[in-house]
Amino acid sequence: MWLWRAKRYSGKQLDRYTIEGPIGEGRYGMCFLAKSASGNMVVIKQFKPGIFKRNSQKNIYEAIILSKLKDKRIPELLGVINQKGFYGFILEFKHGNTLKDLLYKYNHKFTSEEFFDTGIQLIKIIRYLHENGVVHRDIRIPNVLINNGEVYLIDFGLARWADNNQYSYDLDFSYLGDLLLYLLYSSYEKKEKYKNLPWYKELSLTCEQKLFLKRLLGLEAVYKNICDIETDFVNAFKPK
Amino acid sequence: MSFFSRSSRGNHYKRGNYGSNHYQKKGILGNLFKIIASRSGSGGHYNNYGNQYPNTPMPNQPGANAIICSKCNSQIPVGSKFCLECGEKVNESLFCMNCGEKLPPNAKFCLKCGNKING
Repeated sequence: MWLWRAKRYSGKQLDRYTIEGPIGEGRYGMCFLAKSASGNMVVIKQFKPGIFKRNSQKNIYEAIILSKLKDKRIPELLGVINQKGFYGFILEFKHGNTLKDLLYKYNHKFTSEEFFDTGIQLIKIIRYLHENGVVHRDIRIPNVLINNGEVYLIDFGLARWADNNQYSYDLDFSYLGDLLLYLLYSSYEKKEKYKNLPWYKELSLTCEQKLFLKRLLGLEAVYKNICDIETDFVNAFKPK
Repeated sequence: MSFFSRSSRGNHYKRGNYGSNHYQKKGILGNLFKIIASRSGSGGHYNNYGNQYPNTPMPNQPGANAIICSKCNSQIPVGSKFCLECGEKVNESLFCMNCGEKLPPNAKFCLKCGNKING
């Protein structure tokens, strides 16, 4: 399917963009890398036919939220394409590797300094979102990019305006905790091959670090806001 | 009850008890396991504290108000920079991006909701 679509759309002209090839796929549809007439690279997020209409009340959140956010660490919404059965958003292209590729494709092992730099930058992005009333709901390793040490957060397809009920800020806290564990495990060497232990029994962490991660993951009293998380993260993980 | 029932309620928190078998796993089986685990129940150990930030602007819910596109006459949800039907750019100096109210020329603030107008 991927190859078929790659062949079908590569070189295709849409509006003033020329599609170069596919760069990602999800339940929503597919993402393509494209070049504008002026030579700028963009991402075109194409929705599966019918999905935008079917879930229109849900899907418009991504457009509205990205219209409101203005930050270099987040892709800008550049336009909407609706022509000849092709419906999609045009998004700013962010360079870099996803954390998923760094961990599993390049087998990168995060040092404590890299872990801290990545973590604190990501926390500051989440703080920016939460201060603007937005909960991302999908902070996972394929959605975080690193380029020359700078961290970017992409894919706002599940983002919503936070409320006190269904879309609370602590959804992002649990995803952050899970993501940080992926980074910590990048440099972990398993000793006992057949034992299946939880992270807090496997990783060498201080009590402060364990408590911090447990609070993110809801195993201890959950954090109430991202500012407390930022403070505790610095206290627990800043390299001496 | 399906695997995805919790995700439809938007409550899919991450579980907190995995170890290296989870975080160092990759490939189809690893991803499949992650998808199921992330969507199918987290034990309900999270509480909703109603942690609203002070002074957070509460944007209008989509559909509550709308701007009419000058090109295709579709309704544009308030806050969107573009018409979601034809892609026409919304003139941000003509409409408040927070509530959709029409603005007088050179307005610095929306007279209805008080939102600051950019540019």
